[in-house]
Amino acid sequence: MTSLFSPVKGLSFEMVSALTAPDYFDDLNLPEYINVVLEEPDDAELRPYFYYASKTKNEAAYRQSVAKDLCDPDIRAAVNRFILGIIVSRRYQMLSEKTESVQKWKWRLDTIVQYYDSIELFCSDLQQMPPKSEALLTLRDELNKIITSADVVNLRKQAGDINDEFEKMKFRLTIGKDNAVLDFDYSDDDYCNEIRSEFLRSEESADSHSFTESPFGDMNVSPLENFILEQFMKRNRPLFRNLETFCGINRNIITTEVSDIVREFRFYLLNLDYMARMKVKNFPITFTKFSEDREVNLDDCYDIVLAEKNSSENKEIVFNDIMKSGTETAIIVTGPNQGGKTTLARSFGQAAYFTAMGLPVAANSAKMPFFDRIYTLFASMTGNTVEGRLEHELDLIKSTLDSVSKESLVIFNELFTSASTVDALSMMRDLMSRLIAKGAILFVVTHTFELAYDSDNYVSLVATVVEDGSFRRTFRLIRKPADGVAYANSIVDKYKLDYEHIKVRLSNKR
Amino acid sequence: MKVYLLNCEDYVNSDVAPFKNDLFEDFDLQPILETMSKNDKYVYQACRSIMLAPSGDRKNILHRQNALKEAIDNKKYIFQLYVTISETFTDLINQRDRMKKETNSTLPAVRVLNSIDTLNMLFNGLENLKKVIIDANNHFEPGIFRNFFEQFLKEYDDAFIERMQEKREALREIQMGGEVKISGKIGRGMKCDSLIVNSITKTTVKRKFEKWDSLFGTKVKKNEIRVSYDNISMSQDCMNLQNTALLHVASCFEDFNKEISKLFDTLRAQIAFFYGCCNLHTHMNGMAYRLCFPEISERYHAIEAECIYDLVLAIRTLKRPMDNTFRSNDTMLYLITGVNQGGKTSFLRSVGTAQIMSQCGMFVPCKSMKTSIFRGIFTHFVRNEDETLNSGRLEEELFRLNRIVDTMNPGSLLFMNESFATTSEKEGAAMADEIIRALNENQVTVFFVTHIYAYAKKAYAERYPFTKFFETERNERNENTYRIVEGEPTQTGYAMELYRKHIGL
Repeated sequence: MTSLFSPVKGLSFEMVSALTAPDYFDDLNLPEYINVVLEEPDDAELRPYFYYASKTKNEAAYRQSVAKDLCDPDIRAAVNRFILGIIVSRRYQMLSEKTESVQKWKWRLDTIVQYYDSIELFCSDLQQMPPKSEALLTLRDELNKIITSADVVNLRKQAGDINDEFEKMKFRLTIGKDNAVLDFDYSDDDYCNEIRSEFLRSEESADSHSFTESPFGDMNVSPLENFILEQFMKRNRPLFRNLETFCGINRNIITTEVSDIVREFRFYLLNLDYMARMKVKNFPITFTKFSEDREVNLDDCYDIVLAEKNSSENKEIVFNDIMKSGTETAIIVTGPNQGGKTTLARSFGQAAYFTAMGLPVAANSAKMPFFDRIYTLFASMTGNTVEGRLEHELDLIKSTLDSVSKESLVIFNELFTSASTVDALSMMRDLMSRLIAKGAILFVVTHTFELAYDSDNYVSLVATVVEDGSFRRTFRLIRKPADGVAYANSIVDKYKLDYEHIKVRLSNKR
Repeated sequence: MKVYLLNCEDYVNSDVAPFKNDLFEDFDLQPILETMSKNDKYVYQACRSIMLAPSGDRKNILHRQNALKEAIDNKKYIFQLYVTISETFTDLINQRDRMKKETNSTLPAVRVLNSIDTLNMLFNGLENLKKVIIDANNHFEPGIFRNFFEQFLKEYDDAFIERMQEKREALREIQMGGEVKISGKIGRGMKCDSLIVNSITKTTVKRKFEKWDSLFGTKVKKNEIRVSYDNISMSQDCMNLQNTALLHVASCFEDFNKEISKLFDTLRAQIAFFYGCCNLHTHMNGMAYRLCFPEISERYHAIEAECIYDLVLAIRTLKRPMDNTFRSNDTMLYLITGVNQGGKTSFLRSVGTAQIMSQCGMFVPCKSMKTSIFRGIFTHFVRNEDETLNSGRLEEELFRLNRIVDTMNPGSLLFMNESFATTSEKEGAAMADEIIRALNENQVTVFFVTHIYAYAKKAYAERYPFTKFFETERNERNENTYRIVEGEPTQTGYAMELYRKHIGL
């Protein structure tokens, strides 16, 4: 069966569940993202999917079109119905395994009815509101094939016939002080209506309503239920025999493929729901447009993990732009400490990751190439000694150099802080030229601003501070020559609080 | 039932204060709210949220003025109404606490009892409230309150109360042991499904032979099967089913519970405001301070007052503060300069507080006031709270101003206190000039307390249109009178004062 993750068929959950977190996860704060998205312990089985980033641009685009389909509210609703339907039928199947005799057969019958009904409904839903993605179209056809196959049509017919008979079984119970009386004069008179018509003064409708909670649990029949059931068995023995024969033959209806698809859908929906919530909080979310020529243009991007955290603490978050043309090879970020440089590095890395997942990215608009691999080398705190730290960094660099491809993204954050500036500069120069030679795109956060002047193909981003001598951080990073000193700009300009701007801002509201 | 005491029927929400905390802090509203609430936390919160949401709807402001006038004439009944409603709430909260402790007991029987308890409490509350309202209805002049009272008495008339009593009795009977008829179907997994309560009846006395039959669980009629309670698990099942059914039926009273709770909620919040205003009124009257209802002008950006004083200062010091009088001639900029500690901030606060109160339909601290409805009320006061970021204050200031400009509409009112003082005088003057000119030209009225003499001097020399200049008054002995009077801005020696303060002479 088709998969929502790859155009190559036959992705199994076993394969995915064996994956572990890629090396860049911790640096990009992605474990925190996952923890927030997977609120329920139930969702733990979805965790490995986060580790399964696309290997090719084709695959990323394939996933992205699935995600785009799922942003359509109608398709999303249909998918939700499908997921729920399959989950319910799985629960029935589980109950049939746990219960005995006649109940076992009935749960199994319910499984069959529920399972195929859900698939059929999903197919017809997707017929009415056709998806655009290859994945969903293929899935629809596959499911349609199942549901229209002669075997399944025949099976559902038989199941339906038996089920109809059970639907007719109705009873009435009169519970008194000394005993109760069972009869079969079923009535749908609703005593609640009498009260509600008196006290229901709002405009809500007074529909007849049955209990939502049964006092008898939801798996085994209680003694009273069993008693009632026995009365029906006495009255229609052949039906109960039919049920047993039919369900004895047809077991384990639900295929692992369908279960896998449900899991995959849930992964997409959980992520998209989370991002939709961010959007409601005014954090922009957008799908990446793939650039052919290695151009990067991220407008108002931000660190989604930090945004979630800050918004819950009512703290502000700063949006930044990251831009580079197709020919530019590296982005060099300099400026004061605590100026938002690491956050920007994470924002960029996250955007690359989410793009590879086919999910929307945290930005107002996003254009970037597909990165087949993401490497992050963040200032290492590993190792007790200076030499130990440098050694650890060099180890990582070695393995990066060994495996980096021409479609890779490499993010350095304050590398070689344990070395002298001169040494750090020459190491960085050597390292960068090697990586660029291999075709990788570099994002370098560094305190050695001289690097930015090494090539015309380097973009220089500078963390800015307030121009009032306070050196207070704005967390804004602006494209301008690295000068090693604080970037000063008129705050009035920044907030557009000069005469002309205010006039325009206010007169637009008239 | 809708309650139109605080707001009129066709009221559309038109809150003109987007930055509530700033208003609260800058105008120091806490002492006013404390006076209004007399230590009642609920009144404090209710009055706070209403006062921090001044309205932009003229009709509604006038409606509230009228309602408040009625309330002030009948303070006694407002007090009674508030107390009666609060008592019901106290009962409900106590019950809720008790229920929380009982959450371990999810026994349906206990839940049925609790549900009926709540019902009883609300019902008693309703009856008590009705008594007070009948009494009040005889004393209020026809008007907003009378309309509400009469509507209430119609909605909850005697017939309704009687029917309500009946149902309550019925429910109690059932608890004592009645007969419940339930229909159902065989559902998934052979479990009973679609259970529906057909009827609940009082137990009738059984004839002898029926009782006899029941002992053996034998059939009495065709198609009827007796379920004997001799089997413990069967009888338990039956009891559980009955209790669930009762609880289900009790939940039908939910709508009624909700309706009455909601009525009490709304009423409590609205009456709390009038009660708070009455308290404030009594308090100020007790100190012989003048209060008046402002005239709400239909003109734009006009604001003037006679003998306006700082309510907060009055409450805090228990002394009559200096009052000020100012007129408007289409004035868009009120520029206030003068010495420190000369009453400038107090003046700003007196006008700001009065304007908020005006747009809340309240009385104001002055002899008379005539004011427009502003589409937004904003404050931009210099902040000293974060000393560590002292040198970054200009950024912080402009950040706030930017937020204000983003939010405000033409026709707003802005109170600025020492804005742009965190940069050099030259820069500050240029900034103030550009910003305020742009604001004024977009129909934003500005009250600006400033030390930036360069700016005030320029504005005065160039006779800026629609601008009035105010100074702190000094008497013949060159002492502060704490009054603000119209006059040419003079250099106050602010720099020297500061120098003295920081460096010493």
